[in-house]
Amino acid sequence: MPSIDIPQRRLGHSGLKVSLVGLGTNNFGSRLDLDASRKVIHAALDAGITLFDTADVYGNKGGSESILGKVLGEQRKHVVLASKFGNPFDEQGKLRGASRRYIFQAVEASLRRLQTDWIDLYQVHRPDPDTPIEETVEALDNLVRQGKVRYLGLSNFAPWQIVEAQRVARERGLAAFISAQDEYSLLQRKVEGEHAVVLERYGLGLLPYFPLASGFLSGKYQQHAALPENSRLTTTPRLGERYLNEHNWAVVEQLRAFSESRGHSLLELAFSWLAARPWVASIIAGASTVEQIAANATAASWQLTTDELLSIDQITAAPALWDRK
Amino acid sequence: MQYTQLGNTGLTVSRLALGTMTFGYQADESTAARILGKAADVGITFLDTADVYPLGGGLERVGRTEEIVGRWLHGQRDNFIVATKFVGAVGSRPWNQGASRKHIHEAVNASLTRLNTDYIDLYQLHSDDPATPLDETLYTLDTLIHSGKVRYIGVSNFLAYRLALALGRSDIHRYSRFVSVQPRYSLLFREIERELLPLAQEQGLGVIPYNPLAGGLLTGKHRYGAPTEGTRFTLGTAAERYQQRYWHERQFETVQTLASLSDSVGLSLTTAAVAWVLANPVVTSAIIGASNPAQLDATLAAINTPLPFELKQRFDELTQEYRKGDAAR
Repeated sequence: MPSIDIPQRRLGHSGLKVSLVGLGTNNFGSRLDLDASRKVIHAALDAGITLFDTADVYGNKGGSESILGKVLGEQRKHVVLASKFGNPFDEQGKLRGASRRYIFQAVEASLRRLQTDWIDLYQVHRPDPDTPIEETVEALDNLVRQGKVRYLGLSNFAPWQIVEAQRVARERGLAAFISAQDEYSLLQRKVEGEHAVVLERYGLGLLPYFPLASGFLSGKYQQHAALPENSRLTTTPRLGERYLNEHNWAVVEQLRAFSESRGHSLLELAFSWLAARPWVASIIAGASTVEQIAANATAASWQLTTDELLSIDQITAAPALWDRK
Repeated sequence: MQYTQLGNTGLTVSRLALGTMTFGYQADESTAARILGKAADVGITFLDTADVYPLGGGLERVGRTEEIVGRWLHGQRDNFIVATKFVGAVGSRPWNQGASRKHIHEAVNASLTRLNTDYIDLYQLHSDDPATPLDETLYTLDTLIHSGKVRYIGVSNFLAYRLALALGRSDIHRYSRFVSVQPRYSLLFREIERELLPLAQEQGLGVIPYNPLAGGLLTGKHRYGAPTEGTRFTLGTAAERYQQRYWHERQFETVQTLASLSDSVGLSLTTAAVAWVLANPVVTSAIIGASNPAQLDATLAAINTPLPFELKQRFDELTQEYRKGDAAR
């Protein structure tokens, strides 16, 4: 049995408990093949990580779910399995969205790939402007009633969209949403505004994605040094452009100095800073090696003081935020 | 045997229910089968168990009781009303206990498998789970009723205000309501008379008390001092809880007084104590247990032994002090 020494937190206003550090699996079936993924999954189980987050589209559409299904086997019942639907799954534009018709199709496909009877957390990957929210919420409630899904979550929803979805669920006595998965890290703090207020008020826990800004905060990137080969920011130009700018380089170097002067790594800072927010339920981080899993699993244990948190605010304040008022 | 409706439901149950928590630890499987057979022979149709039983057995024995009951029920499931419970820890993971949607689905499927049946007649929360929103629990239990895995739902070891809150939430959402409460109740523990029993009466809930003999203290067979070996008071993980509940000098004095009163009218205290529980009009069925078949004789007799009015009055007066308090269990 895996050790359970990673703290567990309630996910939003629900009875579901998740490990404070979760495993993101969007590299399974793409950058990591079956064998490499298997090593990562086993390392995560051994480290006491119990939240495994995937999506139907991960791994060149279906690859990540298939690998999880194959590798977890008997261990499936010992983890909290989260998946997502709604992002484009084909080129023709038929397999996408949050219509009743597509949701029923998507969940069956995910269950088959995951080789399980139920998904613990089923998340709408992105809002679907073409479907009335009532239709989506009712269809998802049907899945919960059918036992195919235990809990519901949202991802990439604007605050007003979260409120709209949650009110429909509550007013009709349907299964409510308990989580929101959005980008959040020391380099991307925009959820702290209206978003965080809505999450707290409406009982959703945050599952931050890109907690390391796609690896930028992992510690392996050094300004004025060659970029590491075969890493995400190097191989995915879209992500490189997103993070690798002058301002972020300056912030990262200051954060590194800040952590190291206190006997911690930049990685520990990135995790522990997120863990310091009570509305963050679990930090979803990807990994490509066993060593990264081991480092991630213990990275959230630095108890930051109020003074330290204030210093970090000063370091990470984006010029744009100051200008905006 | 006498039969009655469980609260406001259409379900008919025997006024004595057989508790099973000794099966698989204090009582081996063949003894359990003899106890079940004896109860069935006198017309008991109401069986109460729980996923965590046997009592005192710890995590390594969890589920044995349901398995024994399930094997015994083979071929005669439809002759019995089977009640079980969830919430207690059945494993070491954070979601192997409680009333979350995640655990409830796992728990009900595991109980159905062990009980060797397609449906549970009465599915009860073994205790409150303050960490899970009531709406989540109620929604999920409603789902189980719609899916046919469960017929009725109830609670055990609840504070009255939490139960009242839950009934209100069910009404707002039009979810299935709790239909019964299973509280601890005996001459030595009457705290539920203050809040829970009036709520049950007003709301038409069935009341199925456990521990009518206060863990055996009201048999009069124990003596104050070192707890008796081979009983619940020295049993594994249960010993401490049962000693805390009943093993006090004051309780022993009360038992002695009650025993001399019942002796004077030619009744065994065991029979009189169960009859006293049944004499409360809000009580549906009293749960009686045993670790050997012979123990059932005195408790089964309670069904045919109306408590003499004056004796009941004296018992009520002598045990007033055990009404004080508001413990949930």
